[in-house]
Amino acid sequence: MQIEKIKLCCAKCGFTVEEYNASELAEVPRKTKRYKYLLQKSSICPACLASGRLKENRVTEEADTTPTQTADTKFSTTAPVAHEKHPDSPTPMIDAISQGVWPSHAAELKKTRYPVQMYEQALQKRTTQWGYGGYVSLPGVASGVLVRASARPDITKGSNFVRIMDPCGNFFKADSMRKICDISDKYAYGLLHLLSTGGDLEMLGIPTENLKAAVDEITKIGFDVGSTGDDYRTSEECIGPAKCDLALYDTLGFREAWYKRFLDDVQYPRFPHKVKCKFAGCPNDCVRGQQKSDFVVIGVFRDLPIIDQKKVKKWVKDGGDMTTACTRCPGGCLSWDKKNGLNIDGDSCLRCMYCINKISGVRPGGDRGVAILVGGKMRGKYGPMLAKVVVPFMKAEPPDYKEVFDLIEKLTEVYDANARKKERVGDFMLRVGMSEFFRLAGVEPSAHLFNQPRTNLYYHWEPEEVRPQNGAGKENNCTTTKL
Amino acid sequence: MPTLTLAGKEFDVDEDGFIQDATKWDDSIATALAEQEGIKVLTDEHWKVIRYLRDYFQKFGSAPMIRKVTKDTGLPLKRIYELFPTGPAKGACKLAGLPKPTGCI
Repeated sequence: MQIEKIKLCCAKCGFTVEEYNASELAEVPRKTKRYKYLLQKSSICPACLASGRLKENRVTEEADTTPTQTADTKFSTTAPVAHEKHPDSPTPMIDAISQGVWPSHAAELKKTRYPVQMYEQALQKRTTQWGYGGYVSLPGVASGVLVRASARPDITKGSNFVRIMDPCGNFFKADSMRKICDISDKYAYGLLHLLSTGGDLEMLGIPTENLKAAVDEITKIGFDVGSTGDDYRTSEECIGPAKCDLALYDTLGFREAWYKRFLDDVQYPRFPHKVKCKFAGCPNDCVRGQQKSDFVVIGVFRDLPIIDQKKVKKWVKDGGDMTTACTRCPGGCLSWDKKNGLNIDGDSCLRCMYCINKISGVRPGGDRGVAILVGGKMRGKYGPMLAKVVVPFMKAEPPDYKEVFDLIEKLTEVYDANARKKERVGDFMLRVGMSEFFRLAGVEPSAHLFNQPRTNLYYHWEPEEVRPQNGAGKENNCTTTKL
Repeated sequence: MPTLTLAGKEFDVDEDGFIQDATKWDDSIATALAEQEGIKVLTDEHWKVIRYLRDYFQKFGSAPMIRKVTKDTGLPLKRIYELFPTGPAKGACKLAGLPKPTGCI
């Protein structure tokens, strides 16, 4: 059987950029759209890097006898077939994975010096073949170097890896990245883990005899290794004002200042257990600090969101769904009518960022600062915990952020002095209790932190703002307005 | 169990080179172990840390936490790492003849 194929080729070198079946193109609207779009625009050829419009080639070819992968079988697990397909290959499972539609991690691993049999055996036995992890000490690197032992000494002896601290915002210059790659090629597997969940770059598979030389070269090109052991781990921050328009404080500058002040604690372990810090620019908390880290600094605003009525009206005119927005506001404080525009009821507003994310024309307020949350973690003795608010509002003043850092230092001192060995901050807080923790830290607790911990997290109440308890205050009018 | 000959005596050690029986320790052993650890001369500051660790171990039967070492000896943490390049647990405790501390540093 013969089928007609349509190929979109580079006009200069003839490289096939995309390929379609003629019958398929007529049936699938998604592909038709893509085909038309590619013909209209000028694109860069991946082979010769020439830019220009693509040329259309119609070819008639013999149809493949093997059945093509359909959408249904694409997601089904057909791993056992791999053994039959590649009976002689030493790595049948990895070969099967390499045939995927996406760029395959297995194919990438095969190109490096990573012991592929470890992964192959793990896939076949359905359990990892790597053993426990730990640290080896290296003179000059106080925090040590991570080691991953092997449960299969017949394949590999185990591997060391170092964590390279990333620049603020994870911005790597291409040139310095190249130098890191060269070091990895020279001393290690030639394999980088980019970036780990802690926000740092891991260079995998350095033999023990190469460790000193590799670390020396890394420090020579201006990077620092560390972030292991019972110290401050590499802190992660959201991209902040470098790219995002919602950042309420300069997260990148904050982290730079943080490193200037606490670099010794990052490199010299002294705490009872690891301490992780994350800096989020706004209550959206894209770095998921509240779930994962011991000390979280979140940018917050105290006044109401600023509304640009013109933009909001335009958004509604263009098809924005204001009814849904009003009903889904967690505080129920949004109201909208065509004449007066959008209104926010200040009493019930939670500063949750919902309207700011959803509606074009609503921006965060101008009275900005940070909230400090303590004690989030995923593992530890008592399991996963969310970080709790300790200070709901605090001014963060560049360049040295002295007030915030002093408080964090005080909290770590309390943790350092009172916690048991290998106890995370969250576990420590649970053991001693929140009131005792506040007493030790010397922080004045606010009742509003704990009355409704899920609703009023980020709002700092002044004493005169608190409504009297005997019902003398006005009624709560947080009802949804009908359109 | 591997054994180690230091200053003319034999000791039982674990796989990381920590002496198992702390009572057999004396000054000459610390000097001999220092050469293994890459420390050329044991200065007064070295001895201050080692003596403190010995005293604490004899009183409480375990190695102190790092915070306590820095507080009681008055040496900053960075200086202790300079004195013992392999760190307070692996370097200083080994010289003081203490068993390997729990936890990893």
